[in-house]
Amino acid sequence: MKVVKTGTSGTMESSDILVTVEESKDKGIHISLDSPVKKQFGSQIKSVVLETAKKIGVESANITIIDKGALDCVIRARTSTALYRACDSEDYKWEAK
Amino acid sequence: MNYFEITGEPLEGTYLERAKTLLQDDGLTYETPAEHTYCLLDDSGLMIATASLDANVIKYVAVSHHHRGEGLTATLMTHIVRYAMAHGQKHLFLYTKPESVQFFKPFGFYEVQKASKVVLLENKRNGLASFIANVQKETAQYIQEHQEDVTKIHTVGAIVANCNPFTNGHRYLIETAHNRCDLLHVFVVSTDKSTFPRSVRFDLVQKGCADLSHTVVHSTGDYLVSPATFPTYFMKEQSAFHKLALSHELDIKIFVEYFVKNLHINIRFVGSEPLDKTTEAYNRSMAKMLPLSGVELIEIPRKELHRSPISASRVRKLMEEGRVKETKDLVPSTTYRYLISDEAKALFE
Repeated sequence: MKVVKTGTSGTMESSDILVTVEESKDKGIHISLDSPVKKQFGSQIKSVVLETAKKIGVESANITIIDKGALDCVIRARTSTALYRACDSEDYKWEAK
Repeated sequence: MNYFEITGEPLEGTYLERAKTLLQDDGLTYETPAEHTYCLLDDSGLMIATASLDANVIKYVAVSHHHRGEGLTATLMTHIVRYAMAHGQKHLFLYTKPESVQFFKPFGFYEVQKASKVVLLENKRNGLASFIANVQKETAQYIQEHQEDVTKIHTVGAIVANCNPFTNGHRYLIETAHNRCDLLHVFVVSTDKSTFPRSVRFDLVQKGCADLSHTVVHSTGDYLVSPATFPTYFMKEQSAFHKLALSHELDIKIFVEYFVKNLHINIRFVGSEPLDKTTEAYNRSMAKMLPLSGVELIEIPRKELHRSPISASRVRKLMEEGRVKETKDLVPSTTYRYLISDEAKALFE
């Protein structure tokens, strides 16, 4: 899937995360992370985001994240929503049981 | 907790009055109307929090003293940031007093510059530093393309102008400045609060200066504030004059610490301001502060046509009245070509 516009999801409330996905001129996913636990969990947060993008099939994007202590499931949910919005797609691939 | 949300574009009526009261409780004054205001009310209709967005500046943010520590700032900031992004405004600024910086940093805001009573924040890490690095790159590219001799560059000048649109007056200022230095940087104000959109203003300046040697045109990247947007609303100083002086201090400090230092600017050129009091006051502040950092301020008298200064506002007035042909004597041919176009006509309809 291709990013065609800016997609956002989430809030800056405690335990949530604000994800903004934008078009990128280069290949690959570029992540900018702002988090109060960046030192402890920065790489984990980034890998969850990358994993989510891969699963959805987005190969190129600029993703800006403002984390306020979100758990992985929240990161996954907000990131997928932002990605679908950015790709203007409703081809949702929710997790199968 | 369930709150009612209301917004205004701009906020008016009794909601505006209530927001003003809330702001006053924190020593903030609602001065010029903001483009978009967001308010939270409790279930009895009492206004408990408010925040506004004006172009790319977040302002008028306050939370009722009875609702502190509830995370309402997060709600306010989330709304404003998402609203801004949805309207294509990704790069945001925020002015606040030094004591309040801690309330905004958790929302992805970083300090750009601190002056004595006001701090400027932006939602980009190292935004200004990377912008200046880009200006340096643009300059190096220009020098290479035009085969300028770097060893002969001793005097570097700078002009910051809105150019709404680029007139013969601007051209005269730039030409005069260009004759007095070895390299001239022309910064076109990028804040999009003018009749002519920034891409058009920038393009007309570039076209209008293309024939001048050692003159490179850049955008201000929103970092050099247009005098119209000086942040005075949260300052407790009673006199408007004093408030303005504090805002000038911040803008000049940014210019000195980032632009002057990295581009080795020796002279700032400005056109004299016989009519606009705000800009005149700004020129006076620069005349006082710039020499302290080794930068000379040179004021160049305005070019006149039929004994009145050529001004962009005169051109805009003629455009508004549909008298585009009368702008011919006021602007260079490159600008005139644009003014007679359908695109320009559409801006004034």
